[in-house]
Amino acid sequence: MASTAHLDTAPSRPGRLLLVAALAVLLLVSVIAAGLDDSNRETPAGTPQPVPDRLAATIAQAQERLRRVPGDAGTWAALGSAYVVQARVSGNPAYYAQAQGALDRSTQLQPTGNAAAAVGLGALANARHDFAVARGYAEQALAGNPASMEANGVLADAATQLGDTTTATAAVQRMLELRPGVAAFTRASYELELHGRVDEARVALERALGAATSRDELAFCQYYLGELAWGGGGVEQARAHYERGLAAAPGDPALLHGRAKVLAAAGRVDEAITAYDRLTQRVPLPQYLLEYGELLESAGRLPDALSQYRLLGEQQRLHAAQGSADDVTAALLAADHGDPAEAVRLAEAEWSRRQSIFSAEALAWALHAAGRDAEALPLIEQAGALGRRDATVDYRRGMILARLGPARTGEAIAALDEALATNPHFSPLHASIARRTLETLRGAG
Amino acid sequence: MIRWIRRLGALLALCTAALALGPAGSAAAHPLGNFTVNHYDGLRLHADRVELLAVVDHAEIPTLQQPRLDTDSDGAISAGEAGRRAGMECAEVAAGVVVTVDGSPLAWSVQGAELTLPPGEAGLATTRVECRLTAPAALAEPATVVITDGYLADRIGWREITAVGDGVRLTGSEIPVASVSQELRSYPGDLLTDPLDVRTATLQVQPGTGGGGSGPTAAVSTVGRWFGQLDAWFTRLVGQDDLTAEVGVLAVLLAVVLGASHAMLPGHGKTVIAAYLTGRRGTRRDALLVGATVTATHTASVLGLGLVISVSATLAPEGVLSGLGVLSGLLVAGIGAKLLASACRAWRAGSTVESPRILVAVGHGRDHEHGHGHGHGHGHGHGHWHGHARFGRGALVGLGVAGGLVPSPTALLVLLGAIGLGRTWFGVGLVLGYGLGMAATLTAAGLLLLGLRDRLDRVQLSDRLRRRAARLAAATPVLTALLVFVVGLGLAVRGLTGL
Repeated sequence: MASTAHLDTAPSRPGRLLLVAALAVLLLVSVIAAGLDDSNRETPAGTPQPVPDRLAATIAQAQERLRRVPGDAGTWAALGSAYVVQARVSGNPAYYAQAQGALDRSTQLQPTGNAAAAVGLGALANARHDFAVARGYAEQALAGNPASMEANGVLADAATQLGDTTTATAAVQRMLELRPGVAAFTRASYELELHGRVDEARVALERALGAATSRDELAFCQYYLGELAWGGGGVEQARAHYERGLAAAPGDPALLHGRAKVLAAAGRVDEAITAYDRLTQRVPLPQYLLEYGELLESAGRLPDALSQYRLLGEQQRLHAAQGSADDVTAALLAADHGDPAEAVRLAEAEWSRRQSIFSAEALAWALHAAGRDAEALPLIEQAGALGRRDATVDYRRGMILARLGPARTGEAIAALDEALATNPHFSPLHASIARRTLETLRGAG
Repeated sequence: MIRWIRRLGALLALCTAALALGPAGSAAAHPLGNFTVNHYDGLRLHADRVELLAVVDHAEIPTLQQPRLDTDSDGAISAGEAGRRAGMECAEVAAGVVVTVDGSPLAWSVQGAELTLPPGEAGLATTRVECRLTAPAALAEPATVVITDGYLADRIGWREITAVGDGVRLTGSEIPVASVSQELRSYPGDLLTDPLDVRTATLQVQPGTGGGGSGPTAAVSTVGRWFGQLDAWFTRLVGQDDLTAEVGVLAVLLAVVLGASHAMLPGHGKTVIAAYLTGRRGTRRDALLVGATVTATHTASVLGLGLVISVSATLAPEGVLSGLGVLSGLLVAGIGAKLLASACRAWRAGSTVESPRILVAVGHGRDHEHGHGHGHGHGHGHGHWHGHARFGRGALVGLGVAGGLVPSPTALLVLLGAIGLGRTWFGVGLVLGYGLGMAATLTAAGLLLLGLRDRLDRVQLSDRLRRRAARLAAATPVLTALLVFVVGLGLAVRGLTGL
């Protein structure tokens, strides 16, 4: 018995050991695998480091996937939305056409219930200043999914521009509840700023900056921090924010615009003119051209200024021919440097489309240019009704009041003082007009 | 595999963040935008010289921003006015486009300069300037030629370079021979290609004939190529326009195979289940139970997450996956802790009754002598264990749940793809197949281990060894429970650090 047993047990001992060894190996393998996976994780997904070119990488991935699966409506929508952002970040409008094409493809593939495509089309419409259309898309996307972060973002942007502050505030509030990140905080900051709650707006932007993970987000947050400081007359703070943003995104047109504004405010007029010249050669947005012209005019270079205004006029005509009118800028240009009657016509067209604080301000200023200051006054008061502190609005209110006779002189002086106290550099051209007007009013009074 | 889901997550997260940034600037409707300045450089390399056709296309706004062409203000642009401007611009192009041969720059001479004003939008003109430049160069010997276009480098627009060899051969060049935009006359509208932005190129010139360069190349990310191929194969199958029954069956079978191979990879508590089955003296039914639980949990988990993702694009699946990973790990660790407690109790009880155990074990041998079945003897040998082990069925289900809780990225991707194509039910079928494949592997592994263990048990033991084996057997549940606990913690930590 013993001998048999002995013989038979011979394999059993290594067998048991084998089992234990196998278990040990399994444990070891799992631990190593977990460790390997961890080390893999650290490289691509380390969140705190700003990612330099995540947008380009995303676009490349979506393109690659769509070459393999051309029928994927969701990825087409994501690619289209990414193109919209790329157009803004790079300043290259060719991406808008790409975005339209990609979003149309997504809609073709999935005509109903395609919330992702609706959101992308809404963002594209916002970029084209077609805010009513953008709002329609946002509502379409929200009908399917009320908790969509992006759809609420599109709705907030469109509603703000359309003058529907209640809807805008509600959309931003929903975004803050859904995911308090860069998107929600920057929009919340803008809402607060429009209501004159500047300190809270700054806190919101600082939280957005804290949540920013990519270079374009950092640059975006720094730009708005700069704009907020600039609006309150903090030229040095604004400069610091713009420069920090440019360190993250060196070619960003909005930040280059900030730098040019700061140079003009610091009295470095020649450098400012060079900066504006390079900016408008590269990205000739209407706002930049108008400011450039006014800077040239304030520096006594009227012929150069006039050629910028002419260029702006041609550009407006081009945009109108393409069906994307920016009547606010066109009306302001006509009011200050052209035909006041044309300014009123453009501003009234804009006002009939949307009764926002921006179109109220443009119409008031056009009426002022046409000498209809009594009609302008309620509109300019409406433009400031939300409580925002904006030097330009105060300046325009002051200039309108100044024309309404001696009874309103006190109010006019207060408004102009307020404008210059808020931001003495709000415009190289209009700030000096404000100072001259103040002298005249005080001299008369 | 996790990479793909990360990519998907990054994509969703990005388009959220991106859309969030909101509008700035206005979008133009022109093909390349009405303020672009576009460049094309066509190089032709000869043995004794380099020729360059440089084309600059100014859209409407840059055309307006240039100094006025009509210098004599007679309302028309004369040939002389156009020629003078073309000459000026080509001189600037000659200064801006630098070509070096083995490091030394060439000196261009302008052979031809031409300016035309093709009509643009809203009755405005665009400006097209064509410059023909040439420079002597010694290319009869092998040389390295580098072209860098620095003309108006800060302008936004299309930038394209082509190169051909005429009497020389170009090797190792990534630059195409022909212009995809027909020298800036027609910009391709491929939605999957970024606007071209090529500003520099390096060419290797060899004596001999034969053109160089290559076709237009698309930038393809190298990330996850191996997985991309597998994924491509599978997703292409799912995404086929004409989805026949055969292809459908093939896809489901493929899903089963993919699921089976996924289950073979370490992690997800599979080792734990195997160890548990061994240590807890599981039966074949236990192995099948684990398999069924894994399939059910995995399918439900993929369907649930897939549903949530397809309904809300704001959700980043990464976070959910990490959360599920932590949950799964904690579940395993909890079961491990419970097992450990009961195993320790049993072990302590076992030490006090060591002698009866030996007696039973001896009896086991005798049973065998009398020709009794092994299963019976085994039952005796560990009789007092079974009383405790039966509670383990709940724990088994728990382990199965933990094993299937974290959805496989492939399965999720295939489901989302199928939903995107309007083939939701097909996607559900594939996910089910995938889960079945996973379950088959796990069950097979469990059965294999049970078989191995039974074979070991069938082996007769000497008394001395039997005593040691019995002690070892008594310790095994403690060890395996410890293993379950540690691996569970490991899984939870991994889920957390992955967040």
